[in-house]
Amino acid sequence: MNTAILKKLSLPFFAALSLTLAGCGTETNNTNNGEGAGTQQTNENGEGAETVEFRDELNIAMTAQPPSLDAPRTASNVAINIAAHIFEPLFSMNENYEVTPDLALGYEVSVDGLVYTITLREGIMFHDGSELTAADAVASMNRWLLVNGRAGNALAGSVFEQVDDYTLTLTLEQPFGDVMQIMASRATFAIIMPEELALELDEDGAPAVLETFIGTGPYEFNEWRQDQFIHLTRFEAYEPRGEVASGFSGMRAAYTPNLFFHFVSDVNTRISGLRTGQFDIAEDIPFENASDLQNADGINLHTRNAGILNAFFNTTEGILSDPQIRHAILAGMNNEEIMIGGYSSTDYFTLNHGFTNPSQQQWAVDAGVDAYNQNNQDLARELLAASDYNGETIRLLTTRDYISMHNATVVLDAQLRALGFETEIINVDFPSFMERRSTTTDWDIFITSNGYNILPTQILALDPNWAGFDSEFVAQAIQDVRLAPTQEAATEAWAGLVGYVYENAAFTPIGHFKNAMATSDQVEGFVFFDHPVYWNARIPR
Amino acid sequence: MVKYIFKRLGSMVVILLIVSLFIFSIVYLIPGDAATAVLGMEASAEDIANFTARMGLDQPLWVQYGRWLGGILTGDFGDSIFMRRPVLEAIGEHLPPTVSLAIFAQLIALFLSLPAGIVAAYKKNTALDKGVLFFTLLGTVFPSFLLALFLMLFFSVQLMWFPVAGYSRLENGLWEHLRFLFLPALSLGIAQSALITRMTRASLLEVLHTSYIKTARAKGLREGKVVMKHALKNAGLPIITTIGQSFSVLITGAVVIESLFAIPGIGRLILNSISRRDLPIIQGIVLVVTVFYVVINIIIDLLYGAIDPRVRLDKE
Repeated sequence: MNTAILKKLSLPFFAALSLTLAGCGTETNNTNNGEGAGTQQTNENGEGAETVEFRDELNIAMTAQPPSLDAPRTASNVAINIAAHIFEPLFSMNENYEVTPDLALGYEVSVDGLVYTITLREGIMFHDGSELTAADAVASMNRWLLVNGRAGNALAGSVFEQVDDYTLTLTLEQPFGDVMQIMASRATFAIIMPEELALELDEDGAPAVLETFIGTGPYEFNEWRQDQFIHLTRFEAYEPRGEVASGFSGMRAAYTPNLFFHFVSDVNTRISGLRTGQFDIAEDIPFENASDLQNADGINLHTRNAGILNAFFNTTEGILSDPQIRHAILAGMNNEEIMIGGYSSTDYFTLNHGFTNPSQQQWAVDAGVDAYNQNNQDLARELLAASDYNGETIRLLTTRDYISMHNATVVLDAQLRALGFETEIINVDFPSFMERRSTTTDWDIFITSNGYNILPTQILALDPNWAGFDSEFVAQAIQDVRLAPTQEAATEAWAGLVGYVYENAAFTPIGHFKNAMATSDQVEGFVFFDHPVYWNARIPR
Repeated sequence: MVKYIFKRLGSMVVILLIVSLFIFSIVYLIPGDAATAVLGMEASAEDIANFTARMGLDQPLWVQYGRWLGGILTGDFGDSIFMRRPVLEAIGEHLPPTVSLAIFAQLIALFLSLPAGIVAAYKKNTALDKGVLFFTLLGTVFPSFLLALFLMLFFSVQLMWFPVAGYSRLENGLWEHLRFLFLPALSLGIAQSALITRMTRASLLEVLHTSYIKTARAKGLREGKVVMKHALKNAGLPIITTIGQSFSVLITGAVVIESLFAIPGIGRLILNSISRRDLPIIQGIVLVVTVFYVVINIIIDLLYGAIDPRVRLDKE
């Protein structure tokens, strides 16, 4: 009997089962690197090239499922990243952040700066087989003004109108100088869709949320399996622009017939999938993992300047409404130490006092440079001693859901304690963090990582709803920047605004962080600009 | 028997009401909203206000609860705030991976635990018994997500036998389906097997020293028959209860394992829905899970009666 029972033990069963399962079949379409027939004879530089065959699929592991592909409605990066392969705007940004025509052929501005006349490219097809006309563009752009809060606010009172089949106008109420940047910005993503889709209304009479995804982009929507993947297929009737690919503009070659965006929330799984070849690209690699991948065989690590880690002080309520205490904190902060806490290595951040991407030279100003990263604890203690501070507890609000923000908060907390402040870290989940942040009663300091904006006036930190910094000076300065007749005048007005924020110690950039993602070293043509760009990415067979 | 089933199903309605009110209140009271999850961290205040009003999230709790309850009574579970689709459709789509994973994990658990438990009981106080006990202890205390990571590292990354993550539908072929589920099922199965092994061993030990087992041996029955037919059947009630509970845990979603292996099941859906504050989905899943629990418990009770004729449910 004993042996009989032992024989029934399942170990042999498992060995056999695991070998059988491991050995059998080929991988399914949602995870393999299928070797189909992607063939192309031109490259993203618009030049002729020898015929090369590429793999049939590109498997991209993303962190989360997007809430929708109705990109103008959401500030969610994952939504915009995918939607940008389906939909196209009239204008987009090249790698130098210059506005370049996309679906548009060009534009003219009236002398008073109030009317923009935009001409469309002809012969552009939507994925449903219809041709793009000005009627589609007008309906899409007017929808955009309604559903995108930032664009709607920035261009309040503006209207798009059709002139003829391939011409439309935008009429403004004020001659803002940043109109083209707003239209070309990814943050406000002005996508073009067929007129009937753009005019669909919900039961309340507002523009309906897109459920059908028809654009003019190099890829068309194929399938969305909830919490699993989104599958895009190459749009065979796509007419690429002839210019060299640059940033979000120029040639979109769509070498790879199928793009699969997998939703893989666990970073270790994304990395393991990349190592085994199950995924070709893994987005959002935390820096503690990035150093491991930097020297890994067969993997390329990509980084880019992505945004700013900001510390916000509660200027409205509580102990930090006293500007002298805020200045004491500003004086004592060691920004490098805080950034190392958040991003682990100096490779992954830079120290810069500016509120914009340092690559955008037109907005790089010296204002505030002396107030930034002072690292002067003696001065801080002096300022603190001269203030009305009496040992009140300073509440630092944070969330572990964003580990960089959390770790930076912990380091700032230690620095404040060393200066003689009483502190308390309030650690909550992300939705709770956002809720508490929106009121000025539940916090004294919070740190957030904010992505770069193309336009300085769109910076969230300057929005009174973000951290309660409500100032008439700021509101006026934003108008001055927007209505400035020249770039020089706009830059000067911008410098005044940055200087004002530092003088009031309302918030401070701690440092500029980078984002990292990783690809198989076989992936070619991939660009990590402000968002990852996959329309020229491919793997030769 | 029929009366008993109806009585249990009736009590389920009360349970569902209490649970739904409790969950509704908890989700409502915790800070954070769905608007941020849908619109992103950098959404403007106007966009958030518009979204909140459009979804009716600015209404008082009792209005929202009343509306939801009214919908349930007419079979309408509402729409997901995040996914913008009917709740039942979303749950239905996420259920098959979880059911497959639960069944596979349970089979693995049974294949491991029943022989191990029987051998441990039969060979009480031997090295074999102690070895089994040691491994069950390890299985109990070792977190399944950690085991999953080790399995992934070894079988997927090193040996490349199994995919790291993902899910293949049953329509794509049974073997392919199982190949994707094997590592997650093994991670869960090992953890569940520890509990079942211990219960099998303990229950069997009680029975092996009873007089009817001695009688069976005295009659000259083979040891295999004595253990498998006489002992195991009489030791079966607590084992079945444990298996039922274990299956309930598996079927209601292995939250961490599903997230780790990117399996689009119920566990992942509820985890995502909590962070998205997607109340209709959370409520819907809680209802479905509660129904599962009650139904599985009824099935276990019915099995009691089938296994042990002394148990008479209709006499309660």
